[in-house]
Amino acid sequence: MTSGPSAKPCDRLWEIDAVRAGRLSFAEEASALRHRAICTECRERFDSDERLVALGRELTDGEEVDLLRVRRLRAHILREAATATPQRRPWLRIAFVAVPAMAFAAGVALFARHPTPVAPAAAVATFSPAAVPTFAATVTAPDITHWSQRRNGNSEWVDLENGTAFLEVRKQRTDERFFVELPDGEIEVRGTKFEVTVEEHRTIQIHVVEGVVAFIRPNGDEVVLRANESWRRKEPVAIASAPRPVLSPPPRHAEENHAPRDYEVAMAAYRDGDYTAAGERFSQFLVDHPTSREAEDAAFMEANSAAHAGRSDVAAVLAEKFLKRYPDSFHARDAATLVARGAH
Amino acid sequence: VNAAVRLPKPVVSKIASDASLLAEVADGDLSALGVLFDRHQSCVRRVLRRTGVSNVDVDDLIQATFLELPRIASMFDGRSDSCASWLCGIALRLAARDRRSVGRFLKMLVSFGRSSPQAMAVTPEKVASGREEIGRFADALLALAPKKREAFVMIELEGFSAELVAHALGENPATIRTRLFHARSELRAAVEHE
Repeated sequence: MTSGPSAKPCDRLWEIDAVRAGRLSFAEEASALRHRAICTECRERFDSDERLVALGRELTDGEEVDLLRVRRLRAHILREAATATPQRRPWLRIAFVAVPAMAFAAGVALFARHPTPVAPAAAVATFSPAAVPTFAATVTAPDITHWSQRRNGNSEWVDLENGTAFLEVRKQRTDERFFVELPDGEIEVRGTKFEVTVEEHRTIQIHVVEGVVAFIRPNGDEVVLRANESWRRKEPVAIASAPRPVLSPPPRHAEENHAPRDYEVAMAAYRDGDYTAAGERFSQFLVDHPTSREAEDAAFMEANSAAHAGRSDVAAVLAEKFLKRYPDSFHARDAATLVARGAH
Repeated sequence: VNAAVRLPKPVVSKIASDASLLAEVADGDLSALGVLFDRHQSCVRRVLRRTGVSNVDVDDLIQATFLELPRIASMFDGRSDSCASWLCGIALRLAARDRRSVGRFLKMLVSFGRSSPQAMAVTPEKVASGREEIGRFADALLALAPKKREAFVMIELEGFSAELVAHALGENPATIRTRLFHARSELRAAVEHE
């Protein structure tokens, strides 16, 4: 807690800003304040920041404002506003833009309804609003992931050959269908957010963030996953013997017993600088304890580990997923930085 | 002549919200503009001064900010009860535009020949009273990149939330927090290690 100048900085320094910004829960804030009371480094940092604020306020506090000048300025502004050329009414400006736009849109619509007769194959290649497919799913995946997306009428497919992909599928209409084609099965969804990992032509892991996912094997076996549920390949027969239709979550008491220990194991790998192993352990932790108290930190640390391991593209995907799931997290700023780094 | 046509309404409720006042401004009510000026000019002035705008230019920027209101008042989304952060955001954007303009650059070159600029109110009394620290702080604040300085002033000195500041400046809240973090680090280093 009390660290000298050469010691490693306290890893709770970030809480000073979080407390000041009111981004901590009551319990977390109380914990941070208790820590600050005994940590010299945090206390000094807090005092230093408070000193900066005091200095900043002192800079202009003594300035005298000439009230007469302010009154004159006020009168001048009101006079200027009164004598200014009247602005065009917004609806008039909107009309200037909207009328030509509507005329153009009507022309495009007429053209789409009565296109120039061409062969069907050529019609697909023609660039027109009617020819551009609008996908129901947004797929986020690193460059190393092999995937493709296609849509035919009201049916859409994402083919995932290898790697990890995060899919966000909008709610499907009654006449729409959406599938994820996997080397060893198929997933059908009605509107959800989930992540799929495929390695060596086998589905390794599925994690559902929102909605319901049905994973259907070629032999007809089906695993239904709901929000915050995961499926991970452990044994070759795990799926075949899994009870239908729901993959039951692990017993609650088991999670409570093992989550802190598993998290600490992953953190130990991270502290040792083995970021690849740390990333894998955090990933496994999220599969085993998706609803634990450490899940939020683990999700961020998984992205952080990938970044330290030099896999900035993977880190960006994981950080983006983290931000979607925990938009108000304390780590949101750091996660946004990881996303930004991945973009470059 | 136009002033006679646009006579201000005789009574504006003292407890009218900023949003309702802005709606009246959008409808051409100048008395509402006056009330908004009385409410927020001091805040806008303070933010401009703290972000390093010289005393000479502050009045011009305040005038430009409030003269923009009849045109853009309808854009206020009522995210906060007070439109102070929104107004400060407009003023800071105008200040940034002013900084970038060529005319401003030439004016600055001319001013170098006349006197040294003193944007902050580091009075001789403050320095003489053993407050070298505040001088170092003022120099460090002026040495900050403008965007970092804006984040520090708006959040730390004015007490606006990062979300409000981000909205006022058209930025992402995470970006504003990052700027604030770096601003604090640079200021801390300047004040403590000099």
